[in-house]
Amino acid sequence: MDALIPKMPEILVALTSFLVLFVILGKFAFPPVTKMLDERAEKIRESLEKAEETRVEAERLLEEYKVQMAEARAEAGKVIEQGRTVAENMKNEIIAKAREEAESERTKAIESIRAEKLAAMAELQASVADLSVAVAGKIIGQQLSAADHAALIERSIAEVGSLHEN
Amino acid sequence: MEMIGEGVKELLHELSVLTVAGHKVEAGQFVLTNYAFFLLIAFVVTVLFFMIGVRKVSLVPNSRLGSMIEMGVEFVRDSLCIESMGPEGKKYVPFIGTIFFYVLFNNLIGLIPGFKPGTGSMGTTVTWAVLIFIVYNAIGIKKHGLWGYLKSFWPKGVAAPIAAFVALLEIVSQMVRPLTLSVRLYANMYAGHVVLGIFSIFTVMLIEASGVMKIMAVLPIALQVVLYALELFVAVIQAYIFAVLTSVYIGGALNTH
Amino acid sequence: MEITGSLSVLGAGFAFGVGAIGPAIGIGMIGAKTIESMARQPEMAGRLQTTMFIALALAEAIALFGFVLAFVLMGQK
Repeated sequence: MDALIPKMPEILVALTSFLVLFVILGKFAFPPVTKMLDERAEKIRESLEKAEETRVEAERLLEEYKVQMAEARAEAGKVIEQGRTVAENMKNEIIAKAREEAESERTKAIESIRAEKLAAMAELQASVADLSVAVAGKIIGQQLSAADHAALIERSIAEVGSLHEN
Repeated sequence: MEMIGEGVKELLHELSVLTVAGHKVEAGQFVLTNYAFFLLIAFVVTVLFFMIGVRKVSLVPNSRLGSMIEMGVEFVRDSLCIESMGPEGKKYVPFIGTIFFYVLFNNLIGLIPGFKPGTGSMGTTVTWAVLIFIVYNAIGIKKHGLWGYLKSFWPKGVAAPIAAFVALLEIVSQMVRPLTLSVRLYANMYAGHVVLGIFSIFTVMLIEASGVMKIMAVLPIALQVVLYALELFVAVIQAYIFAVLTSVYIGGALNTH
Repeated sequence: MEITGSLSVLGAGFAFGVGAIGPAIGIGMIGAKTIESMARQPEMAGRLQTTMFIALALAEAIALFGFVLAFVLMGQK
């Protein structure tokens, strides 16, 4: 029974110490800590929001860049294609031109060869006639030995051959 | 057996309210009692803990003590105040926090061998329980007005005789609150120390005994270790219950139905 | 062994011992049901815990009456 009866000195000590503690902690301990906790919560919320914003922005930019990239790629493809066609055309043109030129050159050459050949033939015929006349004259002018005869013929042929060669 | 009886008698005397010098407290005497002494030690420890720790609390946690205080205050704010009082509870963080930490430090200091918990005496717990009783009723009256607060005891929508009976029960349970609140804390602390003390007596008795009995002393020592862990748990849980019941009472006074 | 002490001491022992039976069963049931509810709805664990402690306190109060009564009886000669 005695243990259950509150003792006056204890009541006083308990009451005053509690009230003093309440004042001290209520003034210096709890407000700063709760303020800090609120601040921290606020800060975390803010940073999360900011991070979310940044993420959305980054995603948007990425999307934009992707579109731009695709456009650029298409553009580049087109340019390359165009270049290729242009080059192809040019190549064909150049080849055609070259072929044409070669053809004309050849025909010209054939033409000139034929003309020269004709001229040479005509000249040869004339020289042969002259030679024949000269040979005839020589024969008439002197008695020919059999040896002379052969040498003459040989010379004539050689002359004709050399002429023909030219 | 005789020895145990003597030992228990001495233990109970030791655990009763005495002056610091060890005499019995006479009625009307104003002295420092043994429990009041440890109460003051707990007071100093609590103040030092907070004064040193609060300076280390910063937005970016950087010290253990600071984190401990943060966790404690956050626990008081979220799990005790807001949980049982709603958003209004933030205002009562200093009150609940003081109760929780003061009781907690008292209980824990009491577990140091040779020390006593300041809460292990009816004088302390009754004072606080009555103070809490006055505070939560004052909060209720302040919020709803005296008549509005009293009316909240009268249930609506029931026949008058039943309502009167319920109101009577409600008032009786209100009156019993400070008693249960104080006896619960006191009994837990006191009984815990009695049990620890009795196991110590067993241990000493067996060590002093002759022959094989000496070895038997291992048993109560092992049990003592387990009981110490249990008492540590009880010390924390009782501080929690004391604080949570206070906040529930305040919450009940705030949100009458 | 000689039996000493008054009957009031015996009464005190019974007052607490017998008085603690009911609350002990009650506290056990409260704990069991709370664990059950927590397992079923873990997201409610916080609120359940608070409610559990209040219910525990109410059950414990009954045991405490026995405790007080024991002290009162002990003082009787």
